[in-house]
Amino acid sequence: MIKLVFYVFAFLAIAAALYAVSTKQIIRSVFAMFACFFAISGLLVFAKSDFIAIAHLMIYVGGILVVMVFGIMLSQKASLSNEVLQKKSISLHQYLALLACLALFVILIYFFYLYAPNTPIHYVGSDIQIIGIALLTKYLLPFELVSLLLLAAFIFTAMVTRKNKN
Amino acid sequence: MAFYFISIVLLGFIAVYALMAVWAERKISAWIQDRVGPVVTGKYGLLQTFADIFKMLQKEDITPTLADKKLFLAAPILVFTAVFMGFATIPFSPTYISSSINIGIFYLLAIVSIEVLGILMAGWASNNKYALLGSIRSIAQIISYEIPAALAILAVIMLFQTLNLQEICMQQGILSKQKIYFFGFWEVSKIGGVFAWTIFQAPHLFIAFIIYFIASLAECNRTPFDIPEAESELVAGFHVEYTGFKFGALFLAEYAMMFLVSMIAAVLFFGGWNTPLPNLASFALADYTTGTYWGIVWILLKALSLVLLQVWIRWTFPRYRMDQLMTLCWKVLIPLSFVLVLFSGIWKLFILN
Repeated sequence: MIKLVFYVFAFLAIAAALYAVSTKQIIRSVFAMFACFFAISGLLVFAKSDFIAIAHLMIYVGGILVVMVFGIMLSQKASLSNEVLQKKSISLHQYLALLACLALFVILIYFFYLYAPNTPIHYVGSDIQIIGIALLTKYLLPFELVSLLLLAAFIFTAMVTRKNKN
Repeated sequence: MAFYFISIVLLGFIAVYALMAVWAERKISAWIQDRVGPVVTGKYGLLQTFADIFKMLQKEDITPTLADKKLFLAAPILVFTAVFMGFATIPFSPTYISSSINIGIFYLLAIVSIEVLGILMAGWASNNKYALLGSIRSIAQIISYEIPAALAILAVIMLFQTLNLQEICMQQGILSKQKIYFFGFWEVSKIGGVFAWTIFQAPHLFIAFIIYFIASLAECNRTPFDIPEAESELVAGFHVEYTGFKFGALFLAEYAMMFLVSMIAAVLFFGGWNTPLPNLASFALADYTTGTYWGIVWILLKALSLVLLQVWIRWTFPRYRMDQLMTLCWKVLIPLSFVLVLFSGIWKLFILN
C-alpha cells in the first residue's frame, strides 16, 4: 500500500516535470512545476525528512509565485491571442540544451551510485533540533557563506532596480 | 473511538462555521451601521446563508470562453483543500490533535503560501484584467506580510523551543512540564489560567501578537488590507469571473482561512486549549476546567472571538492604499518584528535562566 503511494508520487513528479518542459504556455509550465515540487516533497516525507519536505514546499512556492508573476507580465499578450508558438522543428540550441540536460542527468546518476549509502538510513527522532545544531556548529561556515551570497544578491537587485528608475 | 467521534464533529463544525460566519458578519455589519441585517429567512435570519448556498448550487456554472478551463476549475479546489489541510496540525484539546508532527507551525506557514498559489491560478485562468490585477496584488501583499508573521511566530517559538503546536499549548498551562513564569518573576506553573498564556510570559509577546494579527488580516485579504478584491477599483478582484458553486467554494474558503489564522493565534498567544480560569487557593478552577471537552470549548471560544475581532475591524477601518500597505509592512512591521526576535533571545538567555 505504502509502495503504491510512493509510486503515485514518483509518477506525478515525473509527469509534471515532463509537462512543464514540453508545454508552450509559460504559466501552465510554472503550475506544472509546482505540482512537481509538491510530489517531490511528498517523496521527501517518505524519506523521513519531513522538515526538508515542508522547507522545500515553502521556499519553492514562494519562489515560484514570483517567477509566475514575471511570467504573467511577460506573456499575457501572447497567451491571449490564439496563436501559441506554432514552431514544430527543433533548432540547434534546443539540441544543445538537450545534450546538456542528458550530461547532467548522467553525472547525477553516476554520483548517486558512487555515494549511495549501503545501509538504510535510520530515523533518529525529532529532526529540527538536529538540523539546527548541525547548521550552527558543524556546517556554520557554509551556512554563513550562503547567507552572505544571498545578501549580496539582494543588495545587487535593489541597486539594479534603482538604477533603472533613474 | 472518541478520536473518530471528535474528528467528525470538528469537521462538521468547520463546515457549518463557514456558513454561520457569513451570517454573523452580516448581522454584525448591520449592527455597526445601524441596520437590522437578514431577518426574513428563519428565526433572526439564521437560515440566510443556507438559502444563499442553495441559490448558488442552482445557478448556472459559467466558464468564460477565453478562460483557461482546466486551471479555472482547479483553482477553487486548490484554495479550498489548502485551507482545510491547515486544520490537521491544530491541537483541539490535551488529548486530541489530528497530526502531532514536530514541524506543525512550519507546516501551517507553508499551507498559507499554497493558498496564494490558488488565488493566482484563479486570477490568471479567468482571463480578466480585474481578476489578474487582483491576484497580483494579493501575491505582493501576502508574500510581503508572510515575513512579519513568520518573525512574530519565531519570537514565540524561541521561548518554547519547539515547533509542535501541541507542545506549545502544553507549555502554557497547568499541564506544563517546564516552569512557567508570569513576566519572568512569578512562577505560575501550578496556578495556570490566564497568567500562564504566552502573552503574559514575556512583555514583548503582546506586540508580537499584534504584528501577527495585522499580518494575518493581510493574509486573509480582509479589510483594511482587501485591495486584492477592492470593490470600487477591481469589481471583485480575483473571483470576479466565478459563478455558482465555484464562487461558493472560494467564498467559504476565505472564511475558513479567517478561522484557521485565528486558531493559530489562539494556540500561539492565548494558551490554545488552556482554560482562562486560574487555580485560586482551594478553588482549583484550572484543574476543573482542563480536559478533552473543555479544551475544545476554550480553543473554539478563543478562535471565534478573534474572528469576531476581524469582522469588527472590517466594518470599522477604511482600505489601505497599495503604497501605504507596503510601507507599513517593510518599514514598520518587519524592523519591529526583528527587534522582537532579538528581545526573545535576550529574554530566554538572561531572564529565564
